[in-house]
Amino acid sequence: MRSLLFLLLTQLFAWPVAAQGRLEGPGALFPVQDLAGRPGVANVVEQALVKALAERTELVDAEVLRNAQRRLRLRDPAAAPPASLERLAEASGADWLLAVTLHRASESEVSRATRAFAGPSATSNWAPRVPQITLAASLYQAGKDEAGNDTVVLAWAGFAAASGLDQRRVLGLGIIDDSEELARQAATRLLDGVLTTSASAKPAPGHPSRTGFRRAAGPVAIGPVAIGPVAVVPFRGIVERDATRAAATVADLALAVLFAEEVEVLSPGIVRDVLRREEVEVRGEVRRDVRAALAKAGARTILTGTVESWAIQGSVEPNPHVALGARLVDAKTGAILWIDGVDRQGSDFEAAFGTGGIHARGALAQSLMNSLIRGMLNDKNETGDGP
Amino acid sequence: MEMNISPKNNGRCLVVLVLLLGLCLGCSSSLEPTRFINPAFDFGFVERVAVLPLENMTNDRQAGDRATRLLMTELLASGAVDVVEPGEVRAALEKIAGTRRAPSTDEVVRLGSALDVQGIILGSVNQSESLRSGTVQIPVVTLDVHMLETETGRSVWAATHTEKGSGAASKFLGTGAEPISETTRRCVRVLVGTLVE
Repeated sequence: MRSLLFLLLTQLFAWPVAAQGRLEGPGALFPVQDLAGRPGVANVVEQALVKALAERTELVDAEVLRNAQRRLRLRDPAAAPPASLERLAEASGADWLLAVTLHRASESEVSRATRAFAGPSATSNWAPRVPQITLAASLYQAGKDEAGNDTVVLAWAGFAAASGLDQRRVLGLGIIDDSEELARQAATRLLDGVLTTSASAKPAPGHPSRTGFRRAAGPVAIGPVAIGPVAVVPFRGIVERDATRAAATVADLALAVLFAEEVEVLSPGIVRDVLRREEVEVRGEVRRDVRAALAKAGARTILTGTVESWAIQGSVEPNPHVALGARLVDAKTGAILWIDGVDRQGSDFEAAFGTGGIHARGALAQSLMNSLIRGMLNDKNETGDGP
Repeated sequence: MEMNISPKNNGRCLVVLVLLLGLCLGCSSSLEPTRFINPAFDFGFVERVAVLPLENMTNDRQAGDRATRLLMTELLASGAVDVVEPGEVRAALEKIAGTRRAPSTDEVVRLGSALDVQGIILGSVNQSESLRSGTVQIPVVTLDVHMLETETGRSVWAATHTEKGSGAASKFLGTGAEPISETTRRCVRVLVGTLVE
């Protein structure tokens, strides 16, 4: 009985305890940035996040936040320089700020074979479509720097992508055909990342950077180097459709994966501020002046790359095809420290009986970026097209 | 009806089998790369090179960028030379050669000085497509690259190669063809192999 009570109490308090690590004090959730052009889905995501956050932490009134944003003319918080976020945090009384972007919300048609067991509605003239959703989030925390000045730092970055086919079981059970239901699930999963990741993983300023990767021996081999803080420069999309959106998704994804690997990252607001000051539209490459400005802003290395394929194929069911190229450049010298690429389809991950395949572009990109960044950190190329 | 299996017929069967096998292998293999190397040039002098964006002569929109990235990867992986960040190359190219893709001899010398490189690699993707053979798609990639040394702007290395993506196994077993990026990577690797030994 006592152990049952203990288990119950543990379950009841598990989330709030974890939440205190990151979401201490009142905080604010920005309106979800809708890059997918699906205001309905963005609204569902926002409502799900507000509900979950309100249950576990204190949220600043949305009206107060909106007024502060209007007063400071801060439309896109993810692109705002830290100084603007500091002012916003002060004006709204928030200790943390959560910015969520809806990158993609779409539906793909599936064949009769897949939809045959999708549910009772499959027997009618209903045209079944499998929804896909991609979300990214950044958490900023207000605090004091070493000199005692107010500061806002990027404390966490996350990414969640889902397809209605992800939870498909035997006989096609478990398929989600409702975009809004999938959006709710993805939002909850994204929030789990903020709440359950240990607070000690936060790469605070001065956090020792991860080390231990080495470029192939050559005339200018540099040996093991510390790579953080890393500035993620917008990727370049060279795909035929949705190039800009694909590149934005992949850049947010790179940020999230670097965070997950505990690599210190330069706030994207600082990177955008530098690019704005340099008056250059940089995508997928690093010019000398930009590199110098980023080094001055605190970056040790710069991560950028290209999105070479971002497609949905497949005649039976959605089969994403994603190809990414990435490289890490030394911010001081401009030397390419690491370069690699990967090109995969969702069906490449399929196991026996068609299980294990990846059906969403975002989820496939996440898997590929994970393998690329881990390969970079471990100096291995297990799945990439490198040597 | 009885089959006449004599030692003589066995030998014929063996010959036919060998011919068939040779035909299959012949279908899947590619020509050896064609290369030129200036015998008077000391390649030990080249420590750092700039790779100019390869010109894309195909309908595959990503072919140029893909091949350029893979060329940089293979050159760096070889450990023989350092490669300049493409953003710096593009900036210098715009400043010195303007919008023209192929720099003149004088511009090559100036690019070498601006980027602090001993060699400039440029070229084109001449073919990057999937050809249908029965039920199988076979990716085919042709690259043509050359290197100019930056003291005088003369050509010191040139190579061209065509690589086919799928072998006999995928034809006969009906398995899917490899991604075109994989074929491009193998094509680039063969070309770099003619420069770095």
